[in-house]
Amino acid sequence: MTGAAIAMLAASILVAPGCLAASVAFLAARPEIADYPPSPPGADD
Amino acid sequence: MANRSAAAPAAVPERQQWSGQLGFIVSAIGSAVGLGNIWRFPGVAYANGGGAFIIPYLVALLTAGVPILFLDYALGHRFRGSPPLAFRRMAGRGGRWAESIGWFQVMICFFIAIYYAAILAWAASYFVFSFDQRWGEDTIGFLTQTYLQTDGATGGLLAPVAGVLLPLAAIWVVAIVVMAFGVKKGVERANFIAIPVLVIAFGALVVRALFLPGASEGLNSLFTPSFQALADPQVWIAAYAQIFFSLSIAFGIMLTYSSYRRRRSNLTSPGLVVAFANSTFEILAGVGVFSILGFMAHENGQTMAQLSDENAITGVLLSFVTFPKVVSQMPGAAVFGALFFGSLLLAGFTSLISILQVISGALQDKFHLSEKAAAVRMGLPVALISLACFGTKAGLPNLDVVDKHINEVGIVVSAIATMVVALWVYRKGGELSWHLARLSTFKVGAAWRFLVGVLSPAVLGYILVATVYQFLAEPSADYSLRLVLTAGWGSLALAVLVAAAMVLLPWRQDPLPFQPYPAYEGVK
Repeated sequence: MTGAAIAMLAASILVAPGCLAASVAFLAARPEIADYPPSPPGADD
Repeated sequence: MANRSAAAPAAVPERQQWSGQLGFIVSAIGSAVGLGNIWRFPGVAYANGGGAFIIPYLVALLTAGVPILFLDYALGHRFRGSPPLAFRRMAGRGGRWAESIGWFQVMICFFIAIYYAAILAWAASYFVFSFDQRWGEDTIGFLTQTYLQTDGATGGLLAPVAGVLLPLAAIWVVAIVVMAFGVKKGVERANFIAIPVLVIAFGALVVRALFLPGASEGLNSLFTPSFQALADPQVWIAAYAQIFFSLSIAFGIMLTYSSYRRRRSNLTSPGLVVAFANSTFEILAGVGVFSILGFMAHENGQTMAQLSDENAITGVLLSFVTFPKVVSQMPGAAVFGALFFGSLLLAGFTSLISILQVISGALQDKFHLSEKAAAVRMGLPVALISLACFGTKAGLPNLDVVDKHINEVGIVVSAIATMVVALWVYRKGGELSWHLARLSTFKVGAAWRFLVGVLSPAVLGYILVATVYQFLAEPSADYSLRLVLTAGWGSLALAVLVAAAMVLLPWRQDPLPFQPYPAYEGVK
């Protein structure tokens, strides 16, 4: 493989799986907000 | 007549729910990851700048894919319904006809479901064929003549093909059973089984492909960047189209799925996980597909350019004509073929049940049906139509024409209509961005409203005009005008007519008044 192709392959891996890992980490760190508004009476949540 | 006894505020409707955040995320990934990830992305990237394509692809993902995904989430979650119910509630008392946009999305799903199931039936058959590679050397002849028994462009509608009919019927039986079990016990469980198996099977395929002779040449051709291609507007349009078609956005699926989330749910952060998981699978597919194509070029003593000139590298023909050729040349052909067609089947099946959930959910909402009743009343007629249209000798031409018109025109119309009606006609941009930000850990605001209110409709509007112009100016030479008018434009016209007619039918339970949660406090 050429250097340019290797660089773009690495960039693609950094972008997609890298962003996936970052978004999973962000979600794991803050799965929910702390202050949900009060639910309506009898709400199914 | 509508049931007026239900005229009390429907603030707390009984609604199915996912078991939790993970169930929703896995099911949404199962929907987004489909056939297009495997057979569309690699070829589109190769033809549009190679490695450089990742730049417009990423821009399109962040400026259109993710924002429209969030719009779907916001509409479904705030208005707690399938597309017709969500649009009806969004529009309020004076907005009865907004419901028709939701029904148009349901009809898009109906048309996609009837041919998507047929492709899964082909994949199931080819999974079996992999064990003896019965497609031989003439793979296109095997597909069109021996397997599908294609009978001209218009004939053969009433001539069943047993080899397609049986697996297609089996696909429908399984799909209807999954739908009958509902969101949590059916759709979610199916995804919890299928997605890990898919990741393992496709991952094994990609790893094996990487070690084939010629794989590096294939990867070289895919990832060598052609930065001058970035100056071509068509490359950017291709990137927006790829993102748009691969994320399952704007035709009701993500809207319906988010309506089954609890009221107190983080919306945007799981959305990012779904979007990036979809892109990750596309990159993985690109690596796998081009490693395999590189091997094929190596075996044939060709360059990748020669190979791509002589063989299809996207779509149905990549999967069912080019790939069988490669599989036959491989060591361990049976396992390799089974992994590929098994992956195609799993990826497609999880997408199919998400498409069917839109139809089922809409019927449940409008006619107050249980999930079982909706699965049977929706599933049986849809399955019979699918079997009649695509289990016959006319299957291939029908599929090609319906797919082209519904995908490239219908879904784009649906997306533009959704954004224009929600943000410009009913001015809900502020309320929806507030809803997303109020409940989620990843906040959105004015930038999101600009992206879904201005940029995305403009880009998609351009794509729509260019596509329709191309369809009219350069009609397909492969199919008769009659077939294009009936199966192609006719499907779209039927979708519009049914969407309008469904509005005239009464709701079994009045969808209004409806009090969204949380109460809107205005954009600060």
